[in-house]
Amino acid sequence: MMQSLEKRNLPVFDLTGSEAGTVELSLPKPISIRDDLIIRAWIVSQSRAAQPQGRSPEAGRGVSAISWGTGRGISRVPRMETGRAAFISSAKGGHLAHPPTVEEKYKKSMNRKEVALAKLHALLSAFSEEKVRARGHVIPEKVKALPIVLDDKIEDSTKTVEVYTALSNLGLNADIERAKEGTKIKSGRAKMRGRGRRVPRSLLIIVSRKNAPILKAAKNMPGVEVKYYKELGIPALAPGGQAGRLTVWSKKALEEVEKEWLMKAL
Amino acid sequence: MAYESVIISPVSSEEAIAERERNNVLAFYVSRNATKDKVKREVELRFKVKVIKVNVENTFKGKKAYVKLAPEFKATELATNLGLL
Repeated sequence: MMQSLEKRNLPVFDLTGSEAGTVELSLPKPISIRDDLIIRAWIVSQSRAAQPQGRSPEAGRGVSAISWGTGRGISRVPRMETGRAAFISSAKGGHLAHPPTVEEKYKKSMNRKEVALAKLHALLSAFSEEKVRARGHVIPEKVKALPIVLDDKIEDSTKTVEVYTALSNLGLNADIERAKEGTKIKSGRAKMRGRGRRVPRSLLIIVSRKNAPILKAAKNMPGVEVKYYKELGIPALAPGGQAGRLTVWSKKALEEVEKEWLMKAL
Repeated sequence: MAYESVIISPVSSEEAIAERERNNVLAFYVSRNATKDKVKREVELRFKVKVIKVNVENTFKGKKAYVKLAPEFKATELATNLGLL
């Protein structure tokens, strides 16, 4: 699509939270963000996680029950010898009327070019202050322009506390606290089944190496996700189908994404 | 829904270009459930212009909106700035 280009000069912060250099980012500027594509791509990505469900074909049918016919003053449902109604869906222990079947198609699909466009627009939303605020993220006062870029040293952090202090030096702990306070215990059986808490999504940290130590160090903070830039997708960039995640980049990761992704989109 | 895009893409047909040059009108493909009022508000907000009226047309490819701008704003100029040309 025809579109114009926007250039941004972003400060690069070091681990103490002071500025250490700048980086220039060129962004394609589409005429509008295609939220309709993003939400469709999100539904597709969710549908890929669905597992087939079904019942045994014999379930509820494993009895010898037959209708007693007319003339007894009782309804003509299949009955066992004891006189108890069985087999049919309206009887206790009978089969379901329309059980889920494994033949059902769970996977939804979308055209590849549309998915690529949805990903691009989800990424551009993460660079837009309006969209990030609309998702409910807290943008600290110290951050004047999005995205937030950190020195490459952050990738080598091996301790959670190192990452946390580096982020809180910028004021980004506010968003992590938001996720901590927003954590809710789910109602119903979910607690019993090992998925008891709902944690709001907070920061998305993007790194340039697949085996960077920060991938393990930062993942235990509430709502924080760490991703290798090539593994970025709709679930990380637009949780719940709503784009505009608050992102923190290592300088190298941002440069790589600009080169491989944003410039190719033009 | 809270997040829903109104404008999908600009229309780049001969007719749209002629409208732009002659009648100060911009043409967009818009979402099927967009209304004239929604299109007007979106265009005024996004491009900082004043809109006089909006005509819409349902086509096979989608809903087209012809947005007439107030005379103090030039459609051709805006289109160049947005990179539509």
